[in-house]
Amino acid sequence: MTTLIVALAVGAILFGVGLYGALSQTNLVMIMMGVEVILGGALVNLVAFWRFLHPEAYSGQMFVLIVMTVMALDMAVGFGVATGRFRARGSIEMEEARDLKG
Amino acid sequence: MFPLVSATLFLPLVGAMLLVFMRGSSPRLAHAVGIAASGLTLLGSILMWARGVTGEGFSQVEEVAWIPSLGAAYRVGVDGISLPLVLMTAILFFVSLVFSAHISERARSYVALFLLLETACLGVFVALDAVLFYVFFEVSLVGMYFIIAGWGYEGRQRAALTFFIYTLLGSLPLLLAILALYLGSEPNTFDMRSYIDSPPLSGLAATLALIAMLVTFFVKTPVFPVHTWLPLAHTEAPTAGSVILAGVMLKLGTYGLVRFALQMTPDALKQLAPLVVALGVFSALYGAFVALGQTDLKRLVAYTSVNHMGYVVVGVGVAAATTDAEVRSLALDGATLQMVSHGVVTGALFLLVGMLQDRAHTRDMGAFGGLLQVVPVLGWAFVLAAFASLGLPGLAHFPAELQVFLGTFYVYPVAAIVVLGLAVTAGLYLRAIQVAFLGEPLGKWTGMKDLGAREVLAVAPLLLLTVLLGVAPFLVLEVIHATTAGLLP
Amino acid sequence: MIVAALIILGPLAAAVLILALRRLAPALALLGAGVSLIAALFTLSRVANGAAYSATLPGLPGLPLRLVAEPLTAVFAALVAVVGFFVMVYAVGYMRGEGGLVRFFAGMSFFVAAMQALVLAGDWVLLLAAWELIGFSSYLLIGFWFERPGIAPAASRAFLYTRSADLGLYAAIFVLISQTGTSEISRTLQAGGAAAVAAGLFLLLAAMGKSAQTPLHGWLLDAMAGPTPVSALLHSATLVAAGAILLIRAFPLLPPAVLVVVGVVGGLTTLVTGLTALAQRDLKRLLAASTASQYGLMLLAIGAGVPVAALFHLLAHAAMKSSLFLGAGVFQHASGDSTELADLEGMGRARRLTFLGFVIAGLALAGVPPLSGFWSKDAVLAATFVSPNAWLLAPLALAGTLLTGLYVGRALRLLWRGEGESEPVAGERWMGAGLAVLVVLAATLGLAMPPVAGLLGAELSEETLLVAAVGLVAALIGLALGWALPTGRLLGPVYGLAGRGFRVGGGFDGLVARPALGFARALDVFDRGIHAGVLAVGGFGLALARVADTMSDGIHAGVLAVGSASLAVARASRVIDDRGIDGLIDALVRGTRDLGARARELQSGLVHRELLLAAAGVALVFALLIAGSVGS
Repeated sequence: MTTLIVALAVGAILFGVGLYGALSQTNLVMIMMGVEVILGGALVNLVAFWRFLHPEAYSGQMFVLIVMTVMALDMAVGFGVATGRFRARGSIEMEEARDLKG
Repeated sequence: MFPLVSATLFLPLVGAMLLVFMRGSSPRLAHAVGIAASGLTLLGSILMWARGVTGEGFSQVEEVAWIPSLGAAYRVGVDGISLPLVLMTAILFFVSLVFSAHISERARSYVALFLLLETACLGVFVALDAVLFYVFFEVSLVGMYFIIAGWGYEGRQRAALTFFIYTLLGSLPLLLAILALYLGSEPNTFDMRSYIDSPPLSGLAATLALIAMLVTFFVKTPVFPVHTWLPLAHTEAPTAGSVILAGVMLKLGTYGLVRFALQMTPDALKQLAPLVVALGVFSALYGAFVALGQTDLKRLVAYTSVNHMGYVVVGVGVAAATTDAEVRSLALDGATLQMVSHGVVTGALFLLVGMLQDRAHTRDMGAFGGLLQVVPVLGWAFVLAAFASLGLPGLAHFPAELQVFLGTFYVYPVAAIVVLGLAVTAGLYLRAIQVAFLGEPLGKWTGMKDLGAREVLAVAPLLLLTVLLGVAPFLVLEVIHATTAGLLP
Repeated sequence: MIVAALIILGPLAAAVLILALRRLAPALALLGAGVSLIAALFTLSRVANGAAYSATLPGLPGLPLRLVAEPLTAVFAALVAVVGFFVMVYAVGYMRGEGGLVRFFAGMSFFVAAMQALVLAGDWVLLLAAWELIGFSSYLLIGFWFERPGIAPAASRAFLYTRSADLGLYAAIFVLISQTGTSEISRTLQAGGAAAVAAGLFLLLAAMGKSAQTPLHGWLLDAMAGPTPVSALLHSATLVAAGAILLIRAFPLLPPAVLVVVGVVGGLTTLVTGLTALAQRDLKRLLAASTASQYGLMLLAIGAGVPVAALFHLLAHAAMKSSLFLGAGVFQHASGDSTELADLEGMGRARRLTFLGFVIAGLALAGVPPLSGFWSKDAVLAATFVSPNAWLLAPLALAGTLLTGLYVGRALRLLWRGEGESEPVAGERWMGAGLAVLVVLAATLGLAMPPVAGLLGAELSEETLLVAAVGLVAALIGLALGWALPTGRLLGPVYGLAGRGFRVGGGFDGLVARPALGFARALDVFDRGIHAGVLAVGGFGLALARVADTMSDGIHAGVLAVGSASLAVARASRVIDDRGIDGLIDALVRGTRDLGARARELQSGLVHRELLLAAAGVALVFALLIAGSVGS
C-alpha cells in the first residue's frame, strides 16, 4: 500500500510540474514538454494502479502502450504545428499567437 | 343530296360577311351584294318549294351532330307549314332590299344587317332543334333593333330600345319552356321532332310550359294586351324594316304557336283553347277598332296586323280544340295561309305608305287628299292592297279568313262574331282611301311624283302574289294541306 | 260547256284586255258583253231543251268552286247578259267625251263577269266571292268621278252598307256548310230545323243589304251619284237583284217562319221607300227609291211562298227600271248634266222620243196592261192574296202598287209640265238604241212569263180577275193622283221624313259611323294608355335599376370602408411591429451582442491562457467529483 501511495505521489508531482510548465511557458515547445510531463504523471498513476491493484489484467499494459503511442503522435503533430508556425511567423512564442482572439 | 336548306339559310349571312370585309365600298355595290344574296336565297327557296314536302313529318332534313350528350344538334328541315313561310320570307326580303336601294347612308351596314336578319328569320322557320330555334329567334331581335335605331325616323332610339327589351323579355319564358321540354323528354334531347312525335310533358308541367310559350308568342304575334310595342316599332322603323317586321317577324310568333304550343303540348292547348280563341277574337276586333281610330297611316296598318294575326290565333286555337281532323286541317290551313297572305299584303301596304311618306314627309291621313289623281299608280296599288287586307274575295286574305271563320264556326259558333272584324276593317280602309286618295288634291301635293322603277319593282311582285293567292290559293294550300291533314293524332 | 263558260269569260277577258291595252275600251267592252249575251241566250235555249251544264274548279281543300247552268240560273244569266249588253251600248253614247273610259268600261265589264259568276254559282264560296266582287265593282263605278265632292262618301257608304250586311251571307254559309258538310248550294238547301231558320235569316240580312231593303236602303239613293249607266245596270237590274236572286234560289231552304219575316221586310220596304220616292226632288233618287220599293214587292212575293212571281217581277223590273234610268240619263245630258227634277221640268216635251220610252216604261212599272209590269205585279199580288198571311202581305202589296202609280205619275208630270229646253246630246244614237231595246222588252216581257214558268217547272198562283182588277184600280188611282196632285198634298206630314229617306237618328252616319269612330278613338286612347303602362313598367324597372345601383354603390362604399378599416388596422399593427416588437428584438439583439462581446474577451487566442482555463475547469470537475463521491 505504501508503495502505491508513493507511486501516486510521484505521479502527482509529475502532474503538477507538468501543469505548471504548460501554464507558465510561452514557448510552444516548452508547453508541449509540459503536456508530455502531465501525460507522464498520468501514466505513472496508471501503472501504479495496475501494478498494485490488478497486476493480472494486462489491459493496463495495453493502455499504457497506447497512451505512449498517442503521446508520440501528439508530439509529432505538435512539432509539425510548431514548425509550420515558425515558418509562417518566424517565432513560436505563444504570446504572439492571438489570431483566434474572439 | 345538296344541302339546299342550309345553303339557302346561310347565303344571306355569307353576303353579310362579304359586306363586312368590303370596307369603303360604295352604296351601290353594297346594295348590289344585298340584292344578289337575297336573290340567290329566293332562288334557293324556290328550289326548296320545287322539291316539295311529303305528308309525313319533316322533309329536306339536314342534320349535323353538335353535342350528342345534350341532344343538341344542328337540325334543319321544312314541312308544309314552314315551307310557304320560308318562300314568303325570301320574297319579302328580296323585295325590301330592292326597295332599299336608294339608301346611301351607311348602306353597307344596312344591307349587312338585313341579310343577317334574313338568316335569322329563315333559321327560325327551318330550325328543328329547340336551341337553334331560340338562337335564331333572339338574333332576329338584334338585327331589327339596329335597323330601327340606325335608319328609322325621329323617335327611333326609344322605339328600338322599347321593342328590343319588350320582345326580349317576352322571349324568356320560351327559354324556360324549352328547358322544361328538354328535361321532360326521354332521352333528353333538344330535337323538336321528338317533342312533336311524343310530347314530353303532361299535366301541370305541360300547362305551365304552354303558358310560358303563349306569353312569348303572344308578345311576338302580337296579341292584346302585349301588343303595344308594335305600333311604336312600326312607325319609327324605316320602310323596309316595317315590311320585314310585319311581314316576317310577326310570323315567328304565330309559327311558334303552331310548332311549339300546338304540336308539342297539344292536350294542354286543347284545355286552354277557349281562352286562346277568346283572346284571339278579342284581339282581332280590338285591333280593327283601334285601327279605325288612327290618323297615322302607318299606325293604322300596324293595328290591322294585330287584327289579322288575331285571326291566326283563333285558327290555331280552334285547331287545338277540335277532335275532327278535317276541321283541324281546315282551321290550320286557314291560319297558315293567313300568315302568308298577311306577309304579302301588309308588306305591300307598308311599302306603299313608306313611299308616300318619302314623298310627303308625313303619314297623317288628314294631310293628304285626292292623291289618286296625282299619283295614280301608288293610289291604285294602295286601293288593291287595302281591299285585299279587308278580305275581298279574289285577293289574298279571303281564302284564309274563310277557312278560319268556317273552322271556328264548327267548333265555337259563338266565336264567329269575329267576322265583325271584316266590317270594321272595311270601314277603316275605305275611310283611309277616301280621306287620302279621293276627292280634290291639295295644292301642295300636285307636284308629287308617281312610283319610280325601283318602287314598282318592289311592290309589283307583292301585288301579283296578292291576286294569285286570292284566285288560286290551292297553289299554296296543296303544300300546307299535305302537312295539316295528318298533323295531330 | 265552253259556250256556257263564255258567259263569264267574255266580259272578264274584255276587262283584262281593256286594262292591259288601255285602248278601244268601248269596243272591247261591247265585244265582251256581246259574247256574254250570245253565250247566255244559247245556254238558255239548250237548258230549255233539257241540258244542264256544270263545272268544277279547284278552290279550297274540301270546298271546290262550282258553276252550274240549270233552268233557274240560265234565266238569270240571260237577264244579266241582256241588260248588260244594252246598257253597255247605251253607255258608249253616254260616256262620249268623258275621261277615264278605260277605267269605266273595265269596271263595267268586270262587273258583268262577276254578276254572271254570281248567278251561275253552284257553291257558296263562289257565290260569296262573286257577291263581294260585285260590291267592289259597285264601289269603283259609283266612285268613278272620285275627284268630285260627295262622290267618295257615297261610294264608301254603299260599300260599307253592303259589306256589313254581307256578314249575314258569311254566317249563313257557315251554318249551311257545317250543317250539311258540303258547300254545294243545291245540297245545302236540304238542311232543316233551327239551322234552316238561322241560315234563312242570315241570308235575308245579306239580301237586305244588296237589295236595299229597309232599314238598309239609304245607300242606294246615295249611289245615284255615279254615272247613269252604272245606275241603270247595277243599281236597278243586276246588283240589287242579287238579294232577290239569292232568296229565290234559296227558297227551298226557307221555313215558313223565315218567309213571314221576308214578307214583312219586303212590305215595309215597299211602303217606306215608296213614300221616299214620292218625296224625292232628284229624278235618279226617285228611281232608286222606286227600285228598293219594287224589290220589296219581290220579297213580298217570296214571303208569300211564290218565288216564281218574284222572279217575273225581277225580270220585268230589270227591263223597266233600266229603261227609266236610261231615259233619265238622256234627260240628264240634255239638261247639262243635272238630274234635279226642277232642272228637268218639261224635258219630256223637249225630247219626245225619249219621253215616249220613259212613259212606256213608267206605265209598265205602275202596272198598266198589256205591259210586262202588269203581269208581273199581278203575279205578286195574286201570290200575296192566296198566301197564308194574306191579311198582312196583301195590303202591303196593294199599297206598293198604289205608291208606284203615285210616283210614276208624279215623275211623268214633272217631266212633261213646263217649258223644257234640251241641249244637244252627244252619242244619242247609241243611247237611243240601248234604250229602245230595253223599252221594247219592258213592254213585251209579259209574253215570256208562261214559257219561263214552264221552264222552271213552277206554277203561278191562280189568276183571279178580282186580284187583277184590284191591282189595276190601285195603279190607275195612283197614276191619276200622282199626275194631278202636288207631292206636298199627297204626303202631308210625312213629307220631310220621306224626303230624308226616313232616316232615323241621323241614319248611318249618326247611328253607326260616328259612334264607331268615337269608339275607335276611345280605344286608341285606351291603347296608348296600355302602352304608357308598359313604358311605366319599363320606367319602374329603370327606377329599380337605379335603386339597385344606389344600393350597390352603398355596398361598394361599405366594402371600401371595411377595406380602409383593415388598412388602418394594418397600419397600427405595423406601428406596433416597428416600435414594440422590433424594439424588443433590437434590445434582444443588442443584449446578445454585448454578451457576445464580453464573452469574446475570454477568447484571447493565447494558448497558455486557454490551457489555464482548461486546467481550472478540470480542477473544478475534480473537486465536484470528489465532493460527490464523498457525499455519497
